Amino acid sequence: MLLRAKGGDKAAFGWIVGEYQSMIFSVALHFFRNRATAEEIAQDVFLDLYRNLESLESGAHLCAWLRRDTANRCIDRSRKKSYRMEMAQLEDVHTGQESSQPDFLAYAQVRAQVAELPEDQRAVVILRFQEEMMPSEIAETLELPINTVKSRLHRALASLRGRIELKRGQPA
Amino acid sequence: MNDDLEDVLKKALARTEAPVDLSSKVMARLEGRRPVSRLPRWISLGAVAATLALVFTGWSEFRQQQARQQEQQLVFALQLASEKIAAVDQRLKKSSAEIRIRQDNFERR
Repeated sequence: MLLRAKGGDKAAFGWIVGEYQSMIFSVALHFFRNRATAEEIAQDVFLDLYRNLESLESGAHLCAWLRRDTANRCIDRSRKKSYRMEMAQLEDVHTGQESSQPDFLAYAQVRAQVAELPEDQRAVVILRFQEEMMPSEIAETLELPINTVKSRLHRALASLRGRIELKRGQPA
Repeated sequence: MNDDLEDVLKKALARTEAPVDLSSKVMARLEGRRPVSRLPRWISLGAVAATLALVFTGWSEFRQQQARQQEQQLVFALQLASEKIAAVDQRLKKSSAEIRIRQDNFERR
């Protein structure tokens, strides 16, 4: 499909979009907790992909490229001033069957805590637990030293543990 | 504790479905863009080379025209100078003739 998309086959490119849209959308959604922002980011990533198809060599390369572009866009956007306005529109964004599960509120709280992490830690946590990537894979995707990834993950988990414990200890 | 937290994180951060119209929005934006060139690289390079050749030819012509203009200006300046020299020469000859006449007159006395 990648080869056909590189040859200009729009239907093949459409297939690629369909295949990866949930992955990209979810990363952005967990990053920002805002569906509109997540959708914008996802669209921009795919347009960027279209411009850069020629440089991609394989399906694995494509997937890594998408994850890297999404993570970088999320980090860049969160550093801009306008991001503070988007923070005012935070929502918990998981709807549907999950809301009937007993831990729904707990998961919503965890997502809220993740969204408050510094952006570099947030990206690593989302890739680790949403995409179930190993630290070495995250390091390769984000073009970071593996020790940097491990360090960010360690600090993020320590921070999350502390915050979640703190919230549990608060009176109802 | 670590495993609990990691387990919770996996469940909390599970992928969620993208909006159903995301794909169509992406394709619509692509259609609205100028098409990315799918010409073979050699044609693109050829076009660049042809453009450069045209620019170079135009520049070369311009330089030649400049040189012609400068040549014309030089010729004109030389003509002017020549006319002036001729005028000065004429006056010198006239003065010289007058001086000889006066000398002749003086010697006769």
